[in-house]
Amino acid sequence: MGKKILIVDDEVHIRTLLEQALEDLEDVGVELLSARDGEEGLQYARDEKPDLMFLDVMMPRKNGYEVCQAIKQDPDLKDIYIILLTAKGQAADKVHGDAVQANEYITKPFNPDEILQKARDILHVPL
Amino acid sequence: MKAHTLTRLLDKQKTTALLSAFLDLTPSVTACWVVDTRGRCILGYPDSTRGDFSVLLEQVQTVGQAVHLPPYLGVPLVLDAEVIGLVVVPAPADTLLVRLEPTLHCLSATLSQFAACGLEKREIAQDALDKYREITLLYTIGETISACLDVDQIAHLILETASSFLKTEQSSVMLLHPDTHVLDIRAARGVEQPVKTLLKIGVGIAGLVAQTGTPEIVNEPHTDPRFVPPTGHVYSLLCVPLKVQEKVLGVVNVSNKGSGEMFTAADAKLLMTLAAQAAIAMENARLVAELQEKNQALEAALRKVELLEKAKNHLRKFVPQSVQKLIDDNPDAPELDRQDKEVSVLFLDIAGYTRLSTALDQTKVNYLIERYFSSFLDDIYHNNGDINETAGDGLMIIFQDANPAMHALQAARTALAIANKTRQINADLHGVYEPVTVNVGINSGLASVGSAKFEGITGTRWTYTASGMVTNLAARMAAFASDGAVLLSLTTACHIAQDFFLEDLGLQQFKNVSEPVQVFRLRAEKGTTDGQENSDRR
Repeated sequence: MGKKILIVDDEVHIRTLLEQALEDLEDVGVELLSARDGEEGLQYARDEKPDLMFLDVMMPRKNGYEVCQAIKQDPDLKDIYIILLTAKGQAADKVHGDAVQANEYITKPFNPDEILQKARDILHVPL
Repeated sequence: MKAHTLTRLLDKQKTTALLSAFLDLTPSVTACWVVDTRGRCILGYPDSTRGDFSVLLEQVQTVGQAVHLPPYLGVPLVLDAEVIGLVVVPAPADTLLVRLEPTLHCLSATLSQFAACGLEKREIAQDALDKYREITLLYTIGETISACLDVDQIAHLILETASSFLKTEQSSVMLLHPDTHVLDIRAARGVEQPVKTLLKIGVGIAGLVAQTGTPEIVNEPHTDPRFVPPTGHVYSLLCVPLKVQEKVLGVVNVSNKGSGEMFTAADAKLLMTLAAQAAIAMENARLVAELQEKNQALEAALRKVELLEKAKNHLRKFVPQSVQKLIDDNPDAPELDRQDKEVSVLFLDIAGYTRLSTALDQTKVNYLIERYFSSFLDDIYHNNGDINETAGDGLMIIFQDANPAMHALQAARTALAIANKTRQINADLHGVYEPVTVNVGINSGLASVGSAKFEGITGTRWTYTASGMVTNLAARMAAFASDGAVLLSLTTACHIAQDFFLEDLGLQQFKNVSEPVQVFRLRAEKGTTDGQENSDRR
């Protein structure tokens, strides 16, 4: 079965940018999904069981921490690799992220090339 | 267009909905699939699990129109006159085929339109991503560079960033020497042998950019007469100024995009933005270095001031108080010029100093002089007297005050205090040393007060004094006095007669003074214990 990446961000331009940054992965069969807020993101995670999630922290209807915590506490979903997207310089985000067992953090503004490389590494998709 | 982009161009949900609607409208068709340029089914309704359509695809691509290859019918999806995929349906009976084809062409046209919209969306997204990449780059470099205070490091950072972003083969930073106006390579990348070429301002593309402060894109620079060719082939060149406000610090050159492309206005804009950040960082680095240099100079100056302060404190001991005050009041231009002022001048003379010097060794003489003179000091200062000159056996003290009666009064009080102190010390040293006699002369009036300058080859010596007849006569009276007497001129006597007991000694003739002078002897101040005794005696 093909691998899936779920992007959860309430800002449409960030979703579009992430999708565009990751579009090369579609060529090797990776499916890109996106959700517009925390609630929708959690529902997609349950329905689609993605391998990797890029999860924004500041969102309406369940923030990124709540979504992360819910996923990590669910035995069916806990293996989803979660990368939290945090604003630059918010050290408290990392502490909070650790508490909800996020796998990694990326600060915004992110480097699109690094995002793609990271996704390749996590999903074991070669260049 | 890449063979496999169709999946990216079609929205899965919208396409599936469209296929479903198509099937509703055409009951004779049971399924419908979208096939990409590799012949694979990428979407379908009611399923997308059908296998390989590459033969059908090949035929459609060859004829450029719908192909009926039983059991399927394939209609091309076209974007910019290129077949980007197929819409495939199971072919119905021949009688239905004719009726179906127009509807199928409609479906294909709509899907092609979807793909066109998808492509446009992707292009916009890619453009946005490129811009975002630039912003991220500028953000990151801005953070790094603003904390950097080393010009060379800033130059290398800027080249590293520009080279990686613009994918250039060669790049360099040239800085303009502020005095010689020559551009010198400060950092270089991709240049095999960093050429230490010095380029004058206005010469070559870089020199012109430094002169005008305007960036230049020169694709195919060998055709440009301004171009000064370096070693190696340069087929495209972009040069931007390092500028802070209107001041050009140097230039950034990048050449030969690795891909063989020419530089664009967008490339120039990006490099300009990077150069602007670098220029500010370089200017900051220069200002910080300048500040550090100034701080060091300031610290050195401060140490010098401390030394001078110490020297001044030592020198103050040798400078009359009135001069110190004049300098303190106006350090830049103290009023040291001579002026006629109302003063009282007191001369004090130790009788028999020469005899004392002969009888005692110099250490003892010095001890005695210091003992007596030191005891006078407080009274002199207390009465605003200013010790102007000291000779071995005497002192000259000037009293100044806006009110002539006041300085005469102060001089008289000082004289009586000195006489008292002398008596006390004589008593203290009784049996050890012979008693000392201190004679005093006081005169009041106008004197020329100010500095006198003696210039020699090796240096200049300044003294501050009150000179004229008033001083001369005071000195003569001190020399004339005996037995510890305090003698006054008529002028002084007039000023103080109300407050002191005076004895008129009549007219006296002094050396080098043409007319006889009336002299008074100061006895005591009225209202004091001494004054009472004097009063009783009378």
